[in-house]
Amino acid sequence: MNDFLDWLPLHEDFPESLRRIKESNAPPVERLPALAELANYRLDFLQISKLDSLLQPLLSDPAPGFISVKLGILAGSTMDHLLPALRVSALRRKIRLHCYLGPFDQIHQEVLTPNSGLWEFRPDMVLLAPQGSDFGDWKQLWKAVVSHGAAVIQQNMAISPLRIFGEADRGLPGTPACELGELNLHLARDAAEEGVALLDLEELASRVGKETWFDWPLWYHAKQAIPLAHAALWGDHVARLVAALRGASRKCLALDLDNTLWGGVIGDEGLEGIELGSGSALGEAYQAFQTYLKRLKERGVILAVSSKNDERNARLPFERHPEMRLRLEDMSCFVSHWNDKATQLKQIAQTLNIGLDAIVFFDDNPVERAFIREALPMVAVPEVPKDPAGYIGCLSSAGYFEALRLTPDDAQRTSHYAANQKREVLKNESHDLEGFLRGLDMRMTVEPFDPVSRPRIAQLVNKSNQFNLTTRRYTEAQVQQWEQTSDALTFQIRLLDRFGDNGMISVVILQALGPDQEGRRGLRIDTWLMSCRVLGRQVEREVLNVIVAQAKRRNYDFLRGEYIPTEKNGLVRDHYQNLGFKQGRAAWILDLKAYQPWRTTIQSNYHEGSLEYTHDA
Amino acid sequence: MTRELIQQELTSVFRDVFDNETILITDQTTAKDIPQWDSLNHINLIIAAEQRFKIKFLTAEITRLANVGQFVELILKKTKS
Repeated sequence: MNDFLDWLPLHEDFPESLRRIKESNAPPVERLPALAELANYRLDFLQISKLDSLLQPLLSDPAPGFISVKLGILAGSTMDHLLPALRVSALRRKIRLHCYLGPFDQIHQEVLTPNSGLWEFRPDMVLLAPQGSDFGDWKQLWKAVVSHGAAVIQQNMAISPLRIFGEADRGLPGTPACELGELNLHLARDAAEEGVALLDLEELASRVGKETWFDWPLWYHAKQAIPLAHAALWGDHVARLVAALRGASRKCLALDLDNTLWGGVIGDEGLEGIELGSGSALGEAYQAFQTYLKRLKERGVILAVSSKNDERNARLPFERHPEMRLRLEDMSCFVSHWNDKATQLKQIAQTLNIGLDAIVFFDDNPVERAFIREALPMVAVPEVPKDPAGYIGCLSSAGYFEALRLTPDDAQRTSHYAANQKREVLKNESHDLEGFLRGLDMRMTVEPFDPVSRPRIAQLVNKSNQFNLTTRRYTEAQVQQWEQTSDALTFQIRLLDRFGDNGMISVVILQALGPDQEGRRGLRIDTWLMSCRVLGRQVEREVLNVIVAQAKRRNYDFLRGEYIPTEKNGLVRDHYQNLGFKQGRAAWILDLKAYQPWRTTIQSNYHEGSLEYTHDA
Repeated sequence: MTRELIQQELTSVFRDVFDNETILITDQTTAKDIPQWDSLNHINLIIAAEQRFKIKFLTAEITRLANVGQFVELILKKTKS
């Protein structure tokens, strides 16, 4: 049994559930979600292998709500035995993972040969899993991978417990402990610098315990460096990086209050009665959990409250308890009433303008957890340990909020969402929309793509689903290619208002078309997306004003837009029509000569090098 | 554990690993008799058996197995000690 994935619940009758899926005649689109639901349980390697054999034939069929990712794997050890766990872990995150496993110990050859099996496979991402200290120039490998438009996942080295001199080995050059330790350090630093996703195998090996991790008979027999018994743990860690690279990490943690953030029931026991802070071991455990949550919040995870309480009681500790580490302003959304928790989570998702599949629900009550798993299967629900001293460990090892690296926007995001709540209040009070928008005092800045903003652009491109006309996904490397394409116009759009900086909220990519029969020059709108946080604020109109001005300046005659429908982007079905585009044969056309700029309440600025255009609201 | 019991348990391990509820094994069964019994599944069998019988095989023991009969004998020996 897989003791290291203990945030996943155990299944009561796995064989029966699997049999039902196997024997059902449901079409693949219905079987995949059923398998994904099973993947959310804690399974041993035999169960994983059975699930995987049902999964594999379904992988090639597109299914709504599932992302498809092609992962190339190059390794200095045998990895075949790990693929089932990898595919199942990806499925847990609604990812249909296609794997290519390169020939044994041919990392450099595969990466550096342009027509190798790896590049024939056209991977979105490449996992590099070297063995031993002789890994050569990894930066050169990373560069080569990125030049093919793929993202890198770099695995570091598990350091074996073998010693040459003894305790001093770590400081003695030439010993494995020293060599691999330094290699890991350099890999980690370079990865952070180059924006490469790092897979910390050494940490996994330590967690499991080196004596168990290093199974020497298996190494000599089959060159398996990662033991099958821990394939599920390894697979989950790879899958969370794959998801993060696709912008599919969770964003929001919805927290219960009583016996989750403090001991006892605030409504019954009152401010003095609840257990929190120094004085008791339990109180310290709850407080430490709050401190940990505060760190998560500071790095961009959105915190919300989902509690069955009178709201006044629920707020009391946040306002008045001296040992509280979390305050009201740390909670981006506070929902406390006596309706069921599914209603509460929906309310949180709606207020924060995020999907339910971005939420993790943390509640000490197993009945509430079971209810949410049943009612809202897209919400992640960890098995919360009985002992609050284990809360931090549970959240930390579950890795729901995997962040590849910190973008400046990440840190600001939580305050955006809090400001959004204030805007909602203002909107409710203000009856005249025009007046409301004017009162927001919106200022928009627009610039072409640049290297500094690349990570945030890639993040938006990969996770915007609703306001996204074409849902084309690009890796950071591909974003860079757009940046450098001479016949493309790229726009990154930021928005400020009186409540704060919304950060980058929209991305547009235009590409020149060849002249048409009448010799007119046009631009194809390859990508147009926007964060739903700023919906209903005329942002898209002002964006169009800016785009048109820039296109005209370059003597283009028309814009050609297309709408590619998906499960989630019904919101923008009439986008081009609403903006005044005319229905053409296969696309929407906007004649630039006849274009009358929209009147908006947004002041915009376009910068490009030293050029600047301002439009006053 | 008796030899019969081990044979019975091992049958269930085989069925699990090869995901086939109809597999029957005898002492004479070898890798040639089960189509999916490749080198990858061989290791899976070893690990599944290690977990089921709570034993650990030595490097040499994994190599020497010629048929299921020897597999059963080996488990019998290791569960006794």
